Amino acid sequence: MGKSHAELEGTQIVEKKQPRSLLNEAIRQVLRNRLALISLVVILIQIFMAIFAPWIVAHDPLAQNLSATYLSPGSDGHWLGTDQYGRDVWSRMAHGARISLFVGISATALGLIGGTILGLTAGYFRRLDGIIMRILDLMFAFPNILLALLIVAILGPSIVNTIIALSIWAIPSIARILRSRVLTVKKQEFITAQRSIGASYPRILFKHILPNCTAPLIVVGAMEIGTAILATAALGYLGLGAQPPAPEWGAMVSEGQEYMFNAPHLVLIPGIVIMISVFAFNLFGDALRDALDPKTDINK
Amino acid sequence: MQNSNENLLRVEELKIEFSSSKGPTRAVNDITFNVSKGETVCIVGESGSGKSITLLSIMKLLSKNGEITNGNIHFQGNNMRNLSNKQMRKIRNQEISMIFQDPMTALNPVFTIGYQITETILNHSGLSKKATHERVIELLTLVGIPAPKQRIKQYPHELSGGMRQRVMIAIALSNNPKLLIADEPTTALDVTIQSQILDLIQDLKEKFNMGVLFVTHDMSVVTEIADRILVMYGGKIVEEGTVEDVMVNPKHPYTEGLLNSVPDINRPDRPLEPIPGSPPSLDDDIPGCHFHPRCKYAMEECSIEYPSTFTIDSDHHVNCWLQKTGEWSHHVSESEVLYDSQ
Amino acid sequence: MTKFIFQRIFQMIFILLGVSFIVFFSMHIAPGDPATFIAGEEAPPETVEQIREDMGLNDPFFVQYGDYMAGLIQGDLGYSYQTSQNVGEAILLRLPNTVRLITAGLTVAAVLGIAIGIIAALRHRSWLDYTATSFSLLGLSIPNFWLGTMAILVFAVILQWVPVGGFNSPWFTFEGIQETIIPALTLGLSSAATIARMTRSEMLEVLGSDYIKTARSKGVREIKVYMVHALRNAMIPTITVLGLSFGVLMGGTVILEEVFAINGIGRLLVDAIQQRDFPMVQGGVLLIAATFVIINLIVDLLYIIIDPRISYGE
Repeated sequence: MGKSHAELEGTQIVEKKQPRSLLNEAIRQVLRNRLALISLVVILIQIFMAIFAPWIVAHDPLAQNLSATYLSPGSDGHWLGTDQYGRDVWSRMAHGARISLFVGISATALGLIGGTILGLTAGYFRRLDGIIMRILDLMFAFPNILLALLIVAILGPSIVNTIIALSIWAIPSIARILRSRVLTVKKQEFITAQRSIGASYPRILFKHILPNCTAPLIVVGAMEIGTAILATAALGYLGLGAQPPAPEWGAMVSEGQEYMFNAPHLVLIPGIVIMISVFAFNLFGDALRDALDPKTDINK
Repeated sequence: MQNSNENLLRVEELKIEFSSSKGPTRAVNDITFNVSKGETVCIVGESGSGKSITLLSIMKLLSKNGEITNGNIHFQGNNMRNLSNKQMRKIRNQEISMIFQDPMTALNPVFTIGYQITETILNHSGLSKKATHERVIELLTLVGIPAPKQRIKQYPHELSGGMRQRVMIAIALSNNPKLLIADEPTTALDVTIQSQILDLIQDLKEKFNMGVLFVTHDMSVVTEIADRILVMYGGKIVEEGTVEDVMVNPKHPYTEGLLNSVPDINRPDRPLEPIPGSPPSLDDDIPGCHFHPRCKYAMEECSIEYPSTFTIDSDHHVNCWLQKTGEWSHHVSESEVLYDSQ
Repeated sequence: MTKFIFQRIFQMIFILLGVSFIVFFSMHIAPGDPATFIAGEEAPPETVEQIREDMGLNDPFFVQYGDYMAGLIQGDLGYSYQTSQNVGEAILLRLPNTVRLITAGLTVAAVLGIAIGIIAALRHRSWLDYTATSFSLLGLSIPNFWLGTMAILVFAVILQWVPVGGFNSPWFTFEGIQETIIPALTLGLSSAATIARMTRSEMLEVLGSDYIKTARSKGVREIKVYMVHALRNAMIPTITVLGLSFGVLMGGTVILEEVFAINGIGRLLVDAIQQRDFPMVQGGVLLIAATFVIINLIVDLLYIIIDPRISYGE
């Protein structure tokens, strides 16, 4: 298995060139778009915050200091202030970035894997198409966040369960997009050629069809991370996600609500940060789509 | 042919520019022509020659980045260049009607054809509901649509391409216009349907004594319907004349090229000869004659100065330096390579 | 056409059956024993066993599912573990509030979204267009629970224009509208953004099409070109988005009922999930899913009316 994998990768270089260069071109185009560039910077800052959270903050996000509660932003040593237990808000925000990004990215990754497998299978094997599509229809019957809520209801509220719920929630739309893409790619001649020389199914699917589906997958991926971050916060807010005292952004809004008259920063800061974070991923995904979709150029 | 001196449409020194991110580009450059009552004038040229844009500018339907920068358009003696949108609306369909290239997309897919014709009639007249309905049926009968009473309830997608183009013509005729503008109305149709539609346009032109301004790139269409021909290249008229003059005795190498690139029924043994290269894009700034990079007779001066107009006879004009030297005639092309472009 | 409708209804029943099965099965495998829950942690095992026997929890899974479905057909959704309230009654009691919130939110989303989309398309590439486009993307990124909280802070607490929360007055009274408007705006915003983006791009595409040129060459007035010839075509894909928005709005009510202290299905559901009150969760989820499936059917049927090219007749 290991060997054949290495072989696969060895031969892949030549054939993958085409989608690569399309991607390169897209990245170049995205970087020329000023808004997209800003959004990329925001995303990178967020990733930096998440990775280096313990080193860039001076306080433990969970450490209470009841002698310094409700400090407003700009206070000495607490530039974003403190909350009702005197916990440092900046420290909580930075550690919250860890949770949000971790949940957002891992839920999206799992969703992409699941959606890709289902989408590829449904698109390529006609016999399985019907049954997979019916299952997806069933999942689509649960509107919006309801599917995630149902899963949390069964598994109980926690960060890990949030990831599971959000990744399952992401699967149907990813699978549908991929399926329709596979249906178009499948008809192209180079696939028929591969089939005629007797290439195996996994080879055709993963070496020839999948590389031609990367564009929609990348776009959906970027958008999905934003959605997942938003949903994580919503679950946290409802008390069905990360449990206190975890510094989760949505839960912070919910906790801060009680004190929003005396200490509005406890609600404002996490809310605005969620918004900026999600906005950045949405903008970036939007720019990527424009860059990767040749059709949009004509429309605009 | 031009016995009626009544000028229906007169386009004078028309220039049209399009603004783009790269700056303005000139799509139509200083063209002048007339269309008389009962006359069919064909504008011929490859795509990008500016012929469709000329039509749209007459209707004042240029897209927002297109602008008439010079010249006038007279209709029945009135200058239309400065008409407001509102005034122009009264002229559209009432005085000048237009039919488009692709009948598949030119009709609104979500309205019945009855609605689309009715709407046009009601735009310009205060006919009663019943009278309008009768008029719609009359129009559909006129353009040769069978069972019009059933057809009016149908949607465009339920009709064939030829039928849809007939509907477009019915819409165009609904207010008895004096001038019909047609932008390659047969290009998207099958050959057999093509000639039916051409015949229909001819018949209607004679019946209503309309002027017809017809754009095409197809020389065989030209022979079938045109009275006069304008050959456009790179936004300019390079040759014009009656259909007999131009078809039999083309004076511009481009016209000759167009004729040689389609089969001639009278000379089936003649080899087809495509024009080398491709038409210039609007951004290309070609000095001298725009055609010289593709012209097999190109001379030194062709790349320096734009050729002046030479009159072959009263109605036949051409812009080509070959006329100055007098060395060139149509038959050169057959007598082997005299001016071989290296 | 009739065949298509029947086909779709048949398909819908199938999906609803599937949904009910998934929900019932999920609740079945969820950790925690309902009998222990009802009897209380301290109860002697015999009592728990008795309750289990009474509730039919010892029956095989499919018997339990069959019982539940039999009850469901007769409108019996079981009883809450928490309050022993009849689930159907509890839902019916709260349904009007949710319907009110969703209807108002949908109105906001459709009116705002379509209007902004049209304006942005007509003023393509103007500052108005850019503002509308960026704001709609921003609208998709704002967490609705936060926006709701902020709206309460500004409009109810600081400006005191509207009450802080809850639906206490009848729909179409001044007070009723007053207490609905902020929740509805908050709820509809993100859907309005989606609809605006869709309407804009569809309008732009339609406005570039040949039949718009035809309409203009016919001498149709500009306003009619936009509002009749273009909009009707642009609305076709927008209808899909409206249908999907319904799902987004339903998800939104679950969260916003919590924020605005509205006694609706969403709040009922969240409370039930927190308390692991499975019959209640089951009932709420089933109701929402069923409504969504039915709405999607209606959207499909709307297509036939608005787009003559679709006939569904094979």
